[in-house]
Amino acid sequence: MKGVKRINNPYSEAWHRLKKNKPAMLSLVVVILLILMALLANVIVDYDVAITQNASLQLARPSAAHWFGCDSMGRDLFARIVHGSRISLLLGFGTTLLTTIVAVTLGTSAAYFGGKFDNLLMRAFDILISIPSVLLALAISAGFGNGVPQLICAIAIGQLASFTRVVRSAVLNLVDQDYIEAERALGLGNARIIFTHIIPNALGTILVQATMQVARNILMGALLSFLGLGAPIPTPEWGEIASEGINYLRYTGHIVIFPTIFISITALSINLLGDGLRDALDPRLKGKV
Amino acid sequence: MIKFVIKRLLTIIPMMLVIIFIVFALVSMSDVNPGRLKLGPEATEEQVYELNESYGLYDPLPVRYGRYVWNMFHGDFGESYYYNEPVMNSIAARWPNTIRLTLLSLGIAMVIGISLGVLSAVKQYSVLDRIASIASMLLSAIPTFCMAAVLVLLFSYKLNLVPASGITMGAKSWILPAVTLGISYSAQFLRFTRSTMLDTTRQDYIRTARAKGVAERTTVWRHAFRNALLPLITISGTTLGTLLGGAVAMEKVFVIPGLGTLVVDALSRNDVPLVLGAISVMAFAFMIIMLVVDLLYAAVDPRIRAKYSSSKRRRLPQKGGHSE
Amino acid sequence: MNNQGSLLEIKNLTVQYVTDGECVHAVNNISLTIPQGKTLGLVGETGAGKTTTALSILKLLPKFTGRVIGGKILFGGEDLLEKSEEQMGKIRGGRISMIFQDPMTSLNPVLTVHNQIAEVLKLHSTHLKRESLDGEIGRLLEMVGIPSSRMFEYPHQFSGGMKQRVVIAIAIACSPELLIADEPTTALDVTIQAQVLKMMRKLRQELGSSMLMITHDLGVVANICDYVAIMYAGEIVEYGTLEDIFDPDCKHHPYTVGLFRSIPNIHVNSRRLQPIDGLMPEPTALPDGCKFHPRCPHCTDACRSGEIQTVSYGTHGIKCILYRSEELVGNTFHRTEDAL
Repeated sequence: MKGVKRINNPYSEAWHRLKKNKPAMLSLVVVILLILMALLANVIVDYDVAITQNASLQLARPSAAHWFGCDSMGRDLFARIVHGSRISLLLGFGTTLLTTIVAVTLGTSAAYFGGKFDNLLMRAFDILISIPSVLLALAISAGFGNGVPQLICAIAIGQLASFTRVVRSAVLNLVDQDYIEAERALGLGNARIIFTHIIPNALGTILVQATMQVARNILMGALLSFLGLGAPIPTPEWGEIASEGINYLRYTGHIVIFPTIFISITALSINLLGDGLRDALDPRLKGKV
Repeated sequence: MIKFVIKRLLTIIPMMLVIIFIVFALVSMSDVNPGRLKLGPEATEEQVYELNESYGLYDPLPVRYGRYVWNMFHGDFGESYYYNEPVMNSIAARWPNTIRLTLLSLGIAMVIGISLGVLSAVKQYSVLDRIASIASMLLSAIPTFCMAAVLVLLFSYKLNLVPASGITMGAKSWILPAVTLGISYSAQFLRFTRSTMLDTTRQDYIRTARAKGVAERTTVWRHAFRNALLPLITISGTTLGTLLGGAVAMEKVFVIPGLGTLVVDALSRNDVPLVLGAISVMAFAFMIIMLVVDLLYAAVDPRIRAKYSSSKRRRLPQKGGHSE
Repeated sequence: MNNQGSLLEIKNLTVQYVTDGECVHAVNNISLTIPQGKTLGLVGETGAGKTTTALSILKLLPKFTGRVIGGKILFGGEDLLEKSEEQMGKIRGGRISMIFQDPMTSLNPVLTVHNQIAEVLKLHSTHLKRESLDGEIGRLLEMVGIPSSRMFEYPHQFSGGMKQRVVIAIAIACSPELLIADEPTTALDVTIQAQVLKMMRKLRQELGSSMLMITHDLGVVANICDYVAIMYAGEIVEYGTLEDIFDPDCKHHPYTVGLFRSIPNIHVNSRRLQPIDGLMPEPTALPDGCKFHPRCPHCTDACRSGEIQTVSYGTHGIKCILYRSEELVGNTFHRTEDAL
């Protein structure tokens, strides 16, 4: 029937709103392309090309043979960037997945069960928050050595406190609602209430927060690998490529510029997507932080 | 009020102890051998063992920790494994640079971010607002060290206006690092200020101010902004934490001898005392900053001032709508 | 209505809110008059358009969504809708001031009460000298029943009723010609309500201001108003003097009848209240013809479409086709003081 508004479930409504948001949809496409690039890195260009050194091609500018030029050791920059996306995106998505699982578990439990557990947790997080995340990541790396899994843990722990807080306050809002009381009165078990009602309703907030987190983690990962942590040489990673390129700025900028472009576009698209998701899920929040 | 400050300072101590313990435990897991480092590869195993024992390296963790804390209270942070000088000296030499960089950048970030944020909120949907939003989106996505590299490329190498690295050229050498860091973080302030101002200007008391005939500009700054300051102050505190991370990157790019580079270098060499000392100092400074933030809060918001003051002197708070 | 000596005249005012394609018809072609020194009560349910009318007078409608589509608002002969923002700034707080509904949020929490009253004095009473400012603020506070020693305290240190008094003090500070009060006592306890109303009556007498009292409470109307206008779905469906409206022997608009029937009467032994069937229509989709027709027990075909004329006689007017003008004459109605 024409003109009649069809109200479907809130998720398909949100999807419709998202579809109308052009920047968000464009960002979604970009993100998908980047993920594909990471997954199909080996198909696009051989890993060997990324690590083969060639003294005669040191600091070579972009050309037909080497689209992005070469770095200080004559390695093809395009190949390094394509393969570098694997670690960078892994850092972003992997850490977020880890943080999300832990944060949702802790946050929901704290908000739902409350009491001593909640207090203790919040106190612990107060302490965690007072250590700037970069320092924490450095300290963790110091203790457990250098490497990608360690880096993932380090970044994840750094972001854990704030994410848990967000989940906790979202769940607190829900727990207050009367229908939860009603369900308890009906004798429904806690687990059932949590899984069928609390989590689905908080899903929107969790999803938006997680998306923003991915962008933040990618940037943090780039920063930490810039500082020397993370994957061992010669594995390429965007931050590490830039770090090396800074030493040669006097001669050429291309070694820094390409990873910058990729990191920025990745972070920007994910942020725009996150904004779009937030607006689609709750239009009242438009424009707010 | 003094009571409040003292109470807070006292709570900082246990928090510091916990933080130091965490970092201590983490760093102790590395398998560094200071005895070997000091004596060199030619020394015998026994000599190395002896030296390590004199450091108390083979004692259990709690003992080592306790000793470290005890020494710390006496101002002794131990000696660096690499530089043959007390940790305190290395830190003291470097921290002015880090402070200078951090404060300068914070200042720039706040001035640009907050003023643009207020303007964007007041002139919502205008051209300025849209440009500011786009700019802040872009700035948030570009890592600070990348931005620094690009700016160095442009202003140092191509245009030759400022030095590319080092702090030997006086004020000029601070321009690029502080401005880069400042602009990069101004985006956060912009977004947050805009959001808070949008919320504040929708409040009832703003409508009251307008109904009194108060000029728009006065309404924005005297009424709206004063109230938006509260969440802004909180966010300044937490942004400072992330700004510190950016400062570390700046120190590396611009070769500034600061605490950040000290920690990173020390970590790569497993120089435990240096790492511990530097991180402890930074964490402590951070907590003092949080205390200052809370005090600023009280300075701006009379409701919080009332909470912090002695509960005996204060008038009982009135609940609205009921008996007077 | 009597047009001589009127301070405020609203003529054919229409206001809409436009958001994202939806159009809210908040005020639809209303006309009212407030005579000099008198109080007009604007009565209606939530959503009837009363606050919108008040905000329109001061041109305080929300910037992006509120639109005045047509009409004039004459204040002392000049059309307020034609005035610039700067000119309105001089009028607001000085010649016309407003008291809002919720005292808990109407005051700026970070400024002292002294500060907030001084602000309006400095803006409009420029003849006042610096030194006499504190004295004047003290006097105003005493007038509304707050000890002047409390002038340097902050809003959170006052209770709801006292906060509202502060708001009133700010509103009367510059002796406005017109005081608009938007449900000033709704958020307060009943006992405090009585006190505040008593105080407002006294102030009105001392200042000689006219007042626009917006309320949904007929008790408040009886207490303080000289004239009444009843609003429904953005229209004035009935108006008249207090006697006209409260006279049970007079003819009234079916909505008015419904309103009075909804109040419990302490003198009558009744079993059930008689609420009005149905709900106020959505302001985005108002019905054709008489806006009340879907709920009216006397609805006829002629009510469902076309423009309904207002039938009037003397001071009393009803927007309904049920009556002829001669039927509007009421009997004498004696209002007992403090009856409610």
